[in-house]
Amino acid sequence: MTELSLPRRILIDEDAGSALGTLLEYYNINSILLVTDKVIANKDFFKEILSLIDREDLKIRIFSNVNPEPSISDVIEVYQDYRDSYDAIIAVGGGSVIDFSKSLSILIKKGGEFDLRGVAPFQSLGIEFTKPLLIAIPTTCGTGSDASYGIVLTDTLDNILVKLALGNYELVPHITILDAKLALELPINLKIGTALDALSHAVESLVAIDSNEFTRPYSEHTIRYIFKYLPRIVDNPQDLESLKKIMYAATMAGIAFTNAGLGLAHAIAHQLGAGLHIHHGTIVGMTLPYVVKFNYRSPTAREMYEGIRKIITLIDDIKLGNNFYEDIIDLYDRIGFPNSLVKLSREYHISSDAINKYADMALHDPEIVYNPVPPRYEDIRMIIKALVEGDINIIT
Amino acid sequence: MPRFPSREWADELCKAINESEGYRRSAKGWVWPILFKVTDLPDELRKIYARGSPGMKVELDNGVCKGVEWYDDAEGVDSPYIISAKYSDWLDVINGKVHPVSAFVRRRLKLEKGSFATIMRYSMAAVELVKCAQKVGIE
Ligand SMILES: [Fe+2]
Repeated sequence: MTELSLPRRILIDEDAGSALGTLLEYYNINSILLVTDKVIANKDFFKEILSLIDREDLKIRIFSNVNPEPSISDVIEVYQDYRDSYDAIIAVGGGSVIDFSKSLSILIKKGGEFDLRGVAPFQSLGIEFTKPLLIAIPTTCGTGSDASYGIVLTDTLDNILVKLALGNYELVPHITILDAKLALELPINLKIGTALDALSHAVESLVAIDSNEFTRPYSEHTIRYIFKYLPRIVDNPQDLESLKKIMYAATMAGIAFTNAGLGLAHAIAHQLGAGLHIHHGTIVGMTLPYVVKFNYRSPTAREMYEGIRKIITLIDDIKLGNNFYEDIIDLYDRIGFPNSLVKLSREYHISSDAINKYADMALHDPEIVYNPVPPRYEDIRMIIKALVEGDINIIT
Repeated sequence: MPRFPSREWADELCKAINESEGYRRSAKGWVWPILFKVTDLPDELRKIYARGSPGMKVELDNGVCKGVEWYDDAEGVDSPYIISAKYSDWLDVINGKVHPVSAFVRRRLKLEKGSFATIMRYSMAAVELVKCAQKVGIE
């Protein structure tokens, strides 16, 4: 049995403010909660969106203080202050803002007693068709949260800061509005970081255990777009046409991984990102080629990797190297992205005790089971060691 | 090879778990018994378990199986975790046709009782558990 969960509507290449205004009237929406973060709240485009949706009979509340890595307790706290009945929750921002809005929408629909830690894909939340509608307007180009079922929240477990990867199909936003102009001002390191998150979603979902005929085209298209357009953005960060393609790619990858699953790169990156305070896209992108090499052990995964390489070479006319993990590392060299923790910072030369700890934690990450090759504890240690030192030859 | 499901099969599963390095590692911290229930039996098994849904409660503790309890009819039996599925769905999972996590996602395996939050952290242990079941085998 195969299922595909998607947003009800994806508005592509729209002017976010006027598109949102039209939608709110169309759906007869009279009360909204706008959720964003401090940086975006001060942007001109955010003020413009507000002015474009403003009408007399629309009640607007704004929460503009989502933390960069929101925690479960942040969500509960904001729920206490903002619990109310809304027709729609509108998330304007990157992955943190959208994830936060999804979490808040669960509490608003199910009540503050509901344990967010237990949000799992295999349960019915009973909130799919209830108000408030969730509308996502992404302002970065990578998380895919606007089309995905996932939520990443931080939590404290046995006094350790952990990232919880939660998800449920009822949390796929109802509507997503893609307006690449909103991502133009994003600093280049975040453009790269979020785009590499999209690449990681695509590469992992391509070979994940639930990958299928409906998800693979989204994965493949994302990989092609990142290989083609990310170098152009690095050369010219204001290249709006390329930025559009990266934003589409991010949303497509969100659809792909929601329905196919992710894998070991995410399972490892969640731990290292939380423990070392590294941006999610940066750490998962960095982990990716090492996991790809490990996954070459699977004949099916190898076939998928070789298939996408053929498409990139023959259709997109991009010269590639000997195998997919080297291609990814070559792409990183081309865009000036480090391929090891030590290159990112010398302080990330973590001890072997720390490697063991992270490997053990990765073994408990929900994304790990979607990896095409079930990894053993020793395998994960090997991959983290290779990632720290930037030595892909460690991986056998 | 013992018949699935049966008391003998459950005993073999417990042995296989205790021989699995992979399970021991990934289930560190899991300390709750799980009752596995089998529903919708085929006719030939209905003759043996006339009351309906047999089950095995596996006493799992930090990667070790401390014993199993067998129930010819597990309806009404309590346990901190209860996972139930149709006989044909268990077969698909144990034979490797369906991944255990996909089976949960597609609602073929049902968590009747227990914490989703905890189970999410032990998905790899679930995979190892299925490998143990595969070692015991199904005719
Ligand atoms: Fe990600």
